[in-house]
Amino acid sequence: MKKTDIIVISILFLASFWLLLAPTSGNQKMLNSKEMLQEIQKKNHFVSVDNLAKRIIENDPSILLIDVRNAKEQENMNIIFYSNGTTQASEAWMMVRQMGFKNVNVLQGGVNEWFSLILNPEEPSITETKLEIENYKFRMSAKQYFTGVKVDNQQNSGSSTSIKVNTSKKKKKGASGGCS
Amino acid sequence: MEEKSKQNHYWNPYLAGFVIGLMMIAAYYFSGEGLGGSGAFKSVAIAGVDAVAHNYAKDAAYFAPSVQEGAESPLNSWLIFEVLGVIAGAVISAAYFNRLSFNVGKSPKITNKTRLIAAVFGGILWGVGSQLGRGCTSGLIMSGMAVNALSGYIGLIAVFGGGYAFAYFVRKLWI
Amino acid sequence: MGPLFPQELISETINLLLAFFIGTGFGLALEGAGFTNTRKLAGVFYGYDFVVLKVFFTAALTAAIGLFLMNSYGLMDIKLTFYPQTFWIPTVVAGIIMALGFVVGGFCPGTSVCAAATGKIDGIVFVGGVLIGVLGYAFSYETVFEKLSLGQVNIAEWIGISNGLFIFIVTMVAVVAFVVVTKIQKALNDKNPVAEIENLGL
Repeated sequence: MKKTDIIVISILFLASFWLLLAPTSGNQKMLNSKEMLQEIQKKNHFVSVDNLAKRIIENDPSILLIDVRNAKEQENMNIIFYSNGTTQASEAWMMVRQMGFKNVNVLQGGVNEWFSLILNPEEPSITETKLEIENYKFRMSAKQYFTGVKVDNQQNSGSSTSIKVNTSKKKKKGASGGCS
Repeated sequence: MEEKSKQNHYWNPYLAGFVIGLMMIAAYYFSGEGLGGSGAFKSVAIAGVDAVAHNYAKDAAYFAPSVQEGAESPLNSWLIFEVLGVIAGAVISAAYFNRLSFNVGKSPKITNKTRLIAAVFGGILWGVGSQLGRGCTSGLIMSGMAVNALSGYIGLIAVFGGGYAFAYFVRKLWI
Repeated sequence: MGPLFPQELISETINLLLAFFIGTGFGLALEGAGFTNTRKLAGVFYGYDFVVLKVFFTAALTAAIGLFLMNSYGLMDIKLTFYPQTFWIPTVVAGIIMALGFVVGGFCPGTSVCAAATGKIDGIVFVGGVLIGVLGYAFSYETVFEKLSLGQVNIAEWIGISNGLFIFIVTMVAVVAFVVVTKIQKALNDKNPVAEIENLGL
């Protein structure tokens, strides 16, 4: 074999060896079964009702209660994850989706996008497409709804009903690759 | 036949593979995409049908998701730009090595006509197969292997296994 | 931490530009390695030219090792990238169809585009064939495959070992394969070289 061959193959060999020894996905949030079992046995994950009552009364801002009764009903409901941007919500989405839940979505752009589009919509220039102008009108009415700030009525709100605000995952997000 | 100094010069295959591997890493790192080829054919087909018969396309299951009102053109995709780049790279490389010319690549033992007919059939098979498999060698297999996806390895075994199985029957085309 | 575009860390314009440049690199390497030459491509199935195997595995393993290393050190989150879904039966059937397409046509879609772009008439014709095939499939499309999906399955997890270990094993297998096929190719070509072998750069 030629020298170049040997060099490249050696690099590959050494690199794969390095990978073997590297910290196993330091990023891994998912636990394997053994770790899961240990956590279950330690029972550290339980919160007592006393503790919860106390925290609610004290207005503890760091808790989030999620009602998981009636999973059957929730199957028909559209669960939408949101975060500041799209990443964290997407990760939550991925985990829940992998568990098989079907009606889960992610808020495109998260809270940041909400602020910039709905609460502070940019006025489109004259040359924008009709769709953009309709969007803008809708957003202005939405802004009024959410903040109570009165805005000029360029047109009656009849037009806003024809616009469906799409908060589900845009098809461009999540690379499409291959042929799917 | 007289000696034509037609010795073709090619890259060291391992080096080429390494470079392609680096390109794949870049594609994943920057864009989260796997390098592919067949996806571009799908986009072109969809755009073409949409241009010619939009009303049909909007309702047909295969085309519908990509041709709705207000949706971006299927040609405005990462894959299309990537394939355009591939074409550019291939042309530059061929020009550099003096391989840029019109001819038919084939074994000297068969005629041009045979080769071209075989090429059409091969293409049609790939058109169907790549849609069914959601990818071709690069998009499904190579990119799949790069992220340890089971489907990439299944594809690898199916394509190479199948290839070896069929090779004997069409050997006259090559050797 | 990558991937950048899916997390909106780079703009769509930059993303598409990058696609072009990355594609260019890919095209340079593909043509440079000889993948516009169908006789070289088919050679892997007959033993006289294993370039496909060498390039393919080196590329896939370089990428896998690189990506998983980046994953381990927090530079990259593979879970956020394109990940082909596993559809057992369609993938196997598709693979067989593609295999036949490969040994008959001598190309795969990516290489055919390179060949067509550099003037290979058989490449151009092949590209046409692919479009016909795609359209044929499109017009007779069925959504039966949704039911056969297994979702995104990682092969290392499926077997029960770590990603790194799996890649390491495949790398070892590949290195052995590289040595073995090089010997096979040499022995075969010394004894019984194919016609116009200099055309294959061998």
